[in-house]
Formats: sequence, structure tokens, C-alpha cells
Amino acid sequence: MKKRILLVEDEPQLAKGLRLNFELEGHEVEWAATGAEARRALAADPPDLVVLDVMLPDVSGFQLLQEVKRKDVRLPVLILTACAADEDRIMGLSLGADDYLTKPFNLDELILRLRGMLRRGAWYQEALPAAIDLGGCVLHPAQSALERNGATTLLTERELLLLLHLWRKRNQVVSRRELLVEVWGYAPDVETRTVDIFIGRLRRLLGDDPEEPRMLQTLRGQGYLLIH
Amino acid sequence: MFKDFVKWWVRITFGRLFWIVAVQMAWGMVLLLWILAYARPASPGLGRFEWGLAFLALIILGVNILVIHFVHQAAQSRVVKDFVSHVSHDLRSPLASVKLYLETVLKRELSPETARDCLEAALQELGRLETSIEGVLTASRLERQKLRIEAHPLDLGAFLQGYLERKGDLVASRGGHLQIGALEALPVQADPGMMAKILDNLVDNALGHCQPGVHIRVSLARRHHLALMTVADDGPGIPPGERRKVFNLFYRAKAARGRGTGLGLFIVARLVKAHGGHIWVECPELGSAFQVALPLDEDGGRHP
Repeated sequence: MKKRILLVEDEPQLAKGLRLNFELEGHEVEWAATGAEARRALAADPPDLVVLDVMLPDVSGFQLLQEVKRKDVRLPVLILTACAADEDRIMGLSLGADDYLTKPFNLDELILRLRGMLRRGAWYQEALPAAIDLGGCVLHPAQSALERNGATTLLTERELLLLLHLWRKRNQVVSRRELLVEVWGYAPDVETRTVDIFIGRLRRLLGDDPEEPRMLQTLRGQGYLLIH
Repeated sequence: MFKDFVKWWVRITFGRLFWIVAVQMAWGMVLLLWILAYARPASPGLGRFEWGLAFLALIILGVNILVIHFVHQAAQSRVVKDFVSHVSHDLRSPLASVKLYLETVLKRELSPETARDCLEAALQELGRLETSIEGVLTASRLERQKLRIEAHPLDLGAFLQGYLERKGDLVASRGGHLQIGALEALPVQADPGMMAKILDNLVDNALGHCQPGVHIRVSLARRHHLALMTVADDGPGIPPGERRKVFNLFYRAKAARGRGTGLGLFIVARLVKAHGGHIWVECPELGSAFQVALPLDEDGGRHP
């Protein structure tokens, strides 16, 4: 199905190459070279996915990311940047990005991640209960909402998929490798911080103590465990 | 008025000198209090009091040296860190483009024209990568003062004439117009390769920061004992607050964030300095004019 991608990238040559590839994948691409253009494009017609560079001439990509997520937490955002430092990656992912890829990247990897992020709906058709009790929290998969102490938080696509996967395999140990393949949809590579950071995000959302988690536990060297 | 004072105060308190002086003053106060409260000269000659004083002076000196050393180290490591992060960013972006285009050609079914476009784009980005690497190497050599300048007697007017004739077409191919202004025959001591680099960087800088169709005018005139070379453009100009900073390592003008490497003008400034000259930028009503002043070699190189 044709999807609309907003590409925010200030390097014209790179943007041209990316646009060509996204179009060959059968998507429609809108290119914004500055933060201002990106804001205009987002306000005019929200896309299905945002590919975002961090170093933009007018605003920081992280700032833009927060704005996007404040508007619609479920709009998937892939950060594509030359900032390869660990703290940048952690910053991007904890501000709500769904994925983080550093330049120079592999074309195959980028396309796989993109497909993974655009592949929604598979779990919509699955027979899921309207509400899942997670002990203290209630998850409404259809609305992608998590209810805790009477307050409702919307989950991003990736957060929801991760939580659903852990719930399906509740009380079993799920490896990081499996999560990367199943939730992010790409081959497990050397970079594993993504999963850790998302687990941290889920713990915060579930109200679990990050120092001594009881619901969502880490088993060193094995993986993660959702206790229910 | 008050605003100016606040600005001045903020600049001072964030400066390195402020802290050095502050630490010294604090030690001085401690010493003074100690003398007033406890130490009294009891007997003539080098008594306990004088030794104590000398000892304290030694400590103060030591602390001073340590503070200066650490402040210096911190500044140095910040420069190195900035250097690494800037360089890795400047190299990664064109590298990503080259890789993307080559992979696209290799893995996609493309029409011959599109494939050709991709390869051309990859080549163009490789050129950018090359320039970046070249710039980084030159800047790093200049930073470590390892670049050797081989100055010879040179007629700057004739050199400029030749250079501009060669460069004209290249500038035209990038959408600019190179104009030759008044050129005087002026003798200087200079390294022709480095002079070409200075001009290359100034011209590229004008091309990179102005709209297509920019007019770049190069002229040379005598001012007292100096040869004054001017590279002027009719672009957007540089705001007054940034005119000095543009020559700093990795500084990019606010209007140009994301463009350029922040190396070009630093290289130019260092090279000009290595020739015993000065560089500054003036912004008349339109555009900016980079002024390079080199000492005239009036003895014709008899005193090397």
C-alpha cells in the first residue's frame, strides 16, 4: 500500500538518493530541507512516517521529534543522523523516536527498518481482547492506550508492539534478539541499546521501578520477562 | 548601558583569566588574614614569620601553576573533542550519500539515465569528501604548526592575474561570476601554492554562502607598506558580531549552519598569518569583502 513519508534532511544529495529509494519502494515522499518546512508539511497533511535528520540548519531534530510526538505519539519516526555517539542515540530514543540509524547506513537495513515501521495492521486483525489486565495497568490494544491509576497514556507503535509481544509470551524469557526481529523487523545487529531503551520506556509507562523492576524484569544474558 | 555592563560582566566571569585572578586574590586574602591574625614579627632576621611567608608564597605559586595548567588542559581537550565530532560529522554525511547511491545502482533495477545520475551524484559527493579530508589535513597541520611555508619573491599582481584567468571558468561552472578588479604589480614574499589555497578558499566561501549568480570581485592595491588584496562578493554579508568569529576553527556563520565545514576561513587566516599578514572582513552596503594585507617585499628578496 502506498504510504506517505516525510523526509527531513538538509543535505540535498542525500535527500535525492533517499527519495529515489523510497519512491522505488512504492511510497510517496515529501522532502523538507529545514525545520520550518517540516513543520509546515506536518501541519498541512500528516504523513505515515517521518525520517528525521538531527542536525538541521534552523532547529534541532530532537526538538522537532518532540513536537511530532506531542501532536501524535503514534506517528512513527525514524532518526537518520551522523550523530553516532551513544548519548545521542539514547537521547533520540528516549524522546520517543521509534528507531535510530546512523550515517553511513546500509540501504538494505534502512529499507528493512522502514518496512517494519510501516507494517501495521497485522496485529490489528489478530484476535486480541479489548482490554488486557497487566496488574495495575490496563492495555487497550485497539486504541494503543495504557490506563494506569485512572490516567490514560497513548503508546507509540513500537511500544505497543513490544508490550504485546512480551504479553503474548508472558512468564517466559524473551531474548533481545527475538524482540529485535519480531518487533523491529530486522536482523539482530551489533547495536542492542534500542531494546534496552524501549524496555526502560515501558517500565516508566507501567509504573515499574527501573532500579528493581517487578513486572518487567531483565535476566542478564538471557533477555526479558513480563510477569503476570 | 546597564545591558552593556551585564554583557561585559558575563563575558569576564566566563573567561579563564577571571578565575585565575579570583583564585590568586582568594589566596592573597587568606595570607593577609593569617598575617593579621597570628603572625607577628618577633625578632629581626629570617625568623619563623619570614619562612612562613616564603612557604606560603611558594604554595600560591604552585596553585597558580596548577590552575593555569588545568584550565589550559580543559580548553585543549574541548578543542580536540570538538574537532573529532565535527570532522566525523563532516565526513559521515558525504560518505552516507556515496554509499547510498552506489548501493542504489547495485541493488535496484534502474533505467540507464537514472543509474548515470546516481553515479554522477556519488562522484560529486566523493569530491566533497575529498575536499573535506583535504581541509581537515591542512587544518590539523596548521593547528600543530607543521605546515611548511616556502616563501619566494612573488609579483602578487601577476600571480593574481594568472590565478583568476585559470579559475574563471570553474567559478562560472558553479554559477558565479569572477571579476578581475584593479591589479597592481606588487612584490611580496609568498608561497604560491599557499596563496592559491588562500584564494581558493575565499572564492569557494563566497560561492558556498551566496545565491547562484553571485559576483566575486578580486582586486589588489598598495596601502603604505602593505599589499592589500580584496575578495568581495555581493551576497548576504556577515553580521557585525560574527565578523571576527568566522576565522575561528569550526565556526560557521549562523545563517549558514549545516553548510561548509567551518575549516576554510580558519585555514585562510592561519595561512595569511604564516605569511606575516593580516586578514579581516568588511561588510559594505552589499555583500562582504575579505581583506588580506601582506607586507611588501621592497628589497626584492635581498633580506630573506
